[in-house]
Amino acid sequence: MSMPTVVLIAGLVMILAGCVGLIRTHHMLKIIIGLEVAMKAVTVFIILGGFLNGRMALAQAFVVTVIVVEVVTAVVLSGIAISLYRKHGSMDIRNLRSLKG
Amino acid sequence: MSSILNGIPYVFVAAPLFAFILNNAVPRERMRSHAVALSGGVAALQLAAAILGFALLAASGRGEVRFGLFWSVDAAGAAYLRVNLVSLFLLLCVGFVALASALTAAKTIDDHRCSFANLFMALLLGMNGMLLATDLFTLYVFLEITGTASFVLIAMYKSSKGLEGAFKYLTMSALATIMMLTGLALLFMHTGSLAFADLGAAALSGASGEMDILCYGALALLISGFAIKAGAAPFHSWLPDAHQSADTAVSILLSGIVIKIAGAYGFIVLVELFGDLYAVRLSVAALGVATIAFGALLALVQTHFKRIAAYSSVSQVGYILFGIAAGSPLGLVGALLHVFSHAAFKSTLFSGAAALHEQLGTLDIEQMGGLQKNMPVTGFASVTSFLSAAGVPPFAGFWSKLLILISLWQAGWIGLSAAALGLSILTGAYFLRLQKKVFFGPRNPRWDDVKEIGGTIRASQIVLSAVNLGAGLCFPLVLLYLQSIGLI
Amino acid sequence: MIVAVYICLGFMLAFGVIAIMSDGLITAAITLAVTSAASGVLMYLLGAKWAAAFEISVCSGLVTVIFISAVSLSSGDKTKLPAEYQDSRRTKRLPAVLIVAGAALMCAAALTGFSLPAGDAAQTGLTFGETLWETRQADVWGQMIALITGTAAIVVFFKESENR
Repeated sequence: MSMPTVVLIAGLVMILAGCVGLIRTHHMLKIIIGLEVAMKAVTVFIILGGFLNGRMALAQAFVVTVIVVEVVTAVVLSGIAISLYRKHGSMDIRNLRSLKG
Repeated sequence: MSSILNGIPYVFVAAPLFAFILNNAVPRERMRSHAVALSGGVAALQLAAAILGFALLAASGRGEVRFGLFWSVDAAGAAYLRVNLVSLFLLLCVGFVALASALTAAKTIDDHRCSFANLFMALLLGMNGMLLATDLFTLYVFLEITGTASFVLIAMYKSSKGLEGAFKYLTMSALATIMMLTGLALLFMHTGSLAFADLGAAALSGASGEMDILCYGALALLISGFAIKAGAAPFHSWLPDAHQSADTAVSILLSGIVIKIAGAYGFIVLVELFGDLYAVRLSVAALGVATIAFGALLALVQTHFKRIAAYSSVSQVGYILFGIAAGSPLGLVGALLHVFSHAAFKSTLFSGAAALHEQLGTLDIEQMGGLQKNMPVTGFASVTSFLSAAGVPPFAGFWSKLLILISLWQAGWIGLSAAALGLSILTGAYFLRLQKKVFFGPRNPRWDDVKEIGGTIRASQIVLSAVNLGAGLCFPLVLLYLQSIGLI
Repeated sequence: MIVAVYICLGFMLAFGVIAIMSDGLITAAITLAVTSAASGVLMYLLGAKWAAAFEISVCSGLVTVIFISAVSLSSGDKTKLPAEYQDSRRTKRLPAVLIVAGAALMCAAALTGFSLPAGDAAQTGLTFGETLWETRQADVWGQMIALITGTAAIVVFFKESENR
């Protein structure tokens, strides 16, 4: 089994871990952790793509952009979490049940 | 003429950027009263530029206009920006809905006007960027910008419900981002480039003539990611919460254009690139039928005006997906026209919601009734919205649905075509229920003194109803024109 | 080099799962930073020097700072989450699930004979700087717009109160 295949499988496992963590957690800030873990694996995939195709410069440009966008997402998510904390006094997702239907 | 045509695309990027800078450069106290007007001005400018650009491009016979902001588009492998007829039409829709939203916002946004204008410009930039991109990665970047601006717009007043709606939307969107990026990374591993020109079913097959399991996985992930962003069933759960809890001006933007550009346009791109693969089109069609059904059935049991409208948006996006899935030029035209007619009638409906909220203070339809006498303009606008949504001629909705049904028929999916026709009866049903409960039926004595809304919301309702009816009356001309250029 | 890649991969995976399963927020932040560092080293080994530097400085540094400032702005118990969150309990079976998934994928790859090409192709084309500024400038514009959207978001969320 070649090295890129192992990296691919390990990355897929990591993405699965991140998605499960994102969905299963009850704490608002742990969602950021799940998202970040999955994003690590995705950036490694992009670099692996550059490695395999000889387009490392392009892959690095992609990775830099992805990292910037991911940081902005994390900031917005923490902003919403903190505002919700100020409203409800807790970071528990189960408090968010007022919209129904 | 050609220099005007070459210059027009810059408007779509430069105008919102310039307005953003202006909004922040002028001191807040002076800017406050003009912020929404500035946004409205940019939206009107975009609408005008898109109409002009569409007419010029169609007349000149060029396929597309390429441009770059500060870089040369002819450099090898450069990711240039471009406008073609499809993107100009969608840019027109963006400008149209943005204008409707700005007209409503003039009345409903009382606080944080400068922030609203900032985010509005960011949202416009995000959507315009998506439509101008020629590379899947650029599409992704501007999709994220659109999403971020939407989350913050929904949560802008930091009300409990607004924050909750934004949070749910953000979580689902994060999942969608992970899926889409994984799909993009797998495609990149296979082809080494993400430009539209370099992708396509042929490129994926490679030397062996068969597709890798990696490519199937990539396509499945991309389709799922865009489905979540579009609010297609079974991933639609975030949409009603987000649209209901946002301020009405923001709901107009979300329902009217964001779900279509962020979601449906992604499908347009996917089918354009990979439509030769039957599996891709079939999955889009499957998503379409599930979405129409879920949206319509869930809309029948709601009691909050905006929630009914949100589920209705979910349902109508299903029709757009049908048109895209058919894969033919007629299907694409039907889908695009449905984007326009849905933008028109949904904006009308949400303007009516804004009017009701301003005058009554509540949006619970169980408490309303018999408002036709008090608010005749709102009632009339709502009726035009209902007739257009249900697909009654001569309104715009009738023509777009007809084209979609015909394209499905031509693609050989007779069963789906019949299902779409049948499900539109459900559309009529939930809208009829809405009309009956709000405007007709016994009047709740609480509302005896309620007056009609004035100002910009009344104006926007009248204009939008006129567009609904006028577009419907003009459609046969559009069809004749399309036939003359040989599209149908 | 391959051994080093595998070691980094192992660290990344292990610390990532620990970050997801951990009960304490500060522990989660620090293990996330270690995961980012491991990912950065992995990228460097594969030949992406610029991306590795960016990843380590931004993800290992900036995101950890953002997270910890979010944690301190919400003054809950930082070191241990209250019992109701129970994240370590809710994700207790995660390592087992992941091992099963990994094994299943490896079997599938071995059975179908799927394998990515092993060697690295010769690096062609422009340098990183030229690629970013000449061919992908649309993305750079996108980054700038994303950042200004982020600043607008910060103004909305973190401003205490606005005078009319």
